[in-house]
Amino acid sequence: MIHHHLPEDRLAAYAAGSAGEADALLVASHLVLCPDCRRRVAEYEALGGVMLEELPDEALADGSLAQTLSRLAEMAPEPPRPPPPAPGPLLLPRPICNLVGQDMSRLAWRGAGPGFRFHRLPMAGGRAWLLQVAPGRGVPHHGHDGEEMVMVLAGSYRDGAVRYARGDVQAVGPETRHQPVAEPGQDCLCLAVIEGRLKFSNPLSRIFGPLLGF
Amino acid sequence: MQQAISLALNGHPATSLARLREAGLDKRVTSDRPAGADAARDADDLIERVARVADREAFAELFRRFAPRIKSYLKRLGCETGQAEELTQETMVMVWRRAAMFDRHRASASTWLFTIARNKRIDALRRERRPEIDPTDPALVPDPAPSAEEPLLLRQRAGRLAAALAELPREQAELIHLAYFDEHSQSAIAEARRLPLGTVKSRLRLALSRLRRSLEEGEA
Repeated sequence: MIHHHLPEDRLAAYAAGSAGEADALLVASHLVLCPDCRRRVAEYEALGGVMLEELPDEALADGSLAQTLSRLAEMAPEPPRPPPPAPGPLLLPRPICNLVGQDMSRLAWRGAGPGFRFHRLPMAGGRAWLLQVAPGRGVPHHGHDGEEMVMVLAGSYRDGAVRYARGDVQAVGPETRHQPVAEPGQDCLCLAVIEGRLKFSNPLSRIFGPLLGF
Repeated sequence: MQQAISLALNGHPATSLARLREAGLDKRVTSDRPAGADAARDADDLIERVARVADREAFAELFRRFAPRIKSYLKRLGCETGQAEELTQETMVMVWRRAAMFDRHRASASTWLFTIARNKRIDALRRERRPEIDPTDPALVPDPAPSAEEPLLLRQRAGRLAAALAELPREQAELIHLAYFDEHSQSAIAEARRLPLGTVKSRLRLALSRLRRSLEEGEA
């Protein structure tokens, strides 16, 4: 049961096709786990359909229809979908598996303080990381230049009084400083999409943050 | 009118008037098109005829109705004419190939065509991937069982959505149009208007929540 959903503008941007790759990855991953937000995205797509109908016509090239009809004959059938992957132990949403597979132990993680490690995802547009925090450990106290969105993939964490578990999204504005702490029991694995740079409060983190790519 | 535009554009009337024209907001097209629920059902039927019997006449009718608007959509998003034409044709070819995947209970014809054109454009113009849901994903949390009246609701909802959009204040409607029909990201829009990014974001959120409210009020 998901308690913390995506902000409306992110859902609308995904439906509109204007979300960058990192944002779209987080949205698509949340949608896999959240039927409620899937319905909302379908509504924003319907809004796109309504607006498409309202657009003024643009003149087509001469013979446009004839050209298109002749292309139909040449079409090869759509390639069949690849078979669904075997579910891994963490049951990660497929948009993430497509990037990193299911086996987290094989990733090139980088450590950043006790019980906290991260892996930057290959991405043409935007910046996204997997974060893994050991039970009871936290991400160093920090703020950001831009907005940060974090989605829980496994385990859970608390930020102040609020709890975030699988599928929950925390959107943190640029002014907010916070310090999430993983709950006991299992490692907390999250997907994080960050605009701008993180600003750590601790002097050591301030020095190492930029070196580590934050 | 002039005042409304300046208001919408935050004191950049010159640049924004052009932008508004680009966005097609200075004219509403309603006249000679088949309107309302009948037209929507017709388009659904056409796609299903393509799917069932590869009906070229049905396809030609879909083409005549939607291809000019798809080209319009692509040009608004920055495609030059030749490329917009090419991508329009590719979109319509995709409609032909995927017609069997169309499900009128999940989306209207125009919504389905919009998503195909949107994805075509992203594939062609951006160097980025577009992560998508895969219906066979073992991690997928399924929808709650649909009720019997769901298809009907979907149809009414599309109508209400159009009405709700028409009722939005001009500035908010324009922001939503820009979100769909402008290649610029929110930060580029913020820069062009000399507004903080946070302001653009919060205005768009406001517009969307107002839209959602009027949608939900219509349902109550």
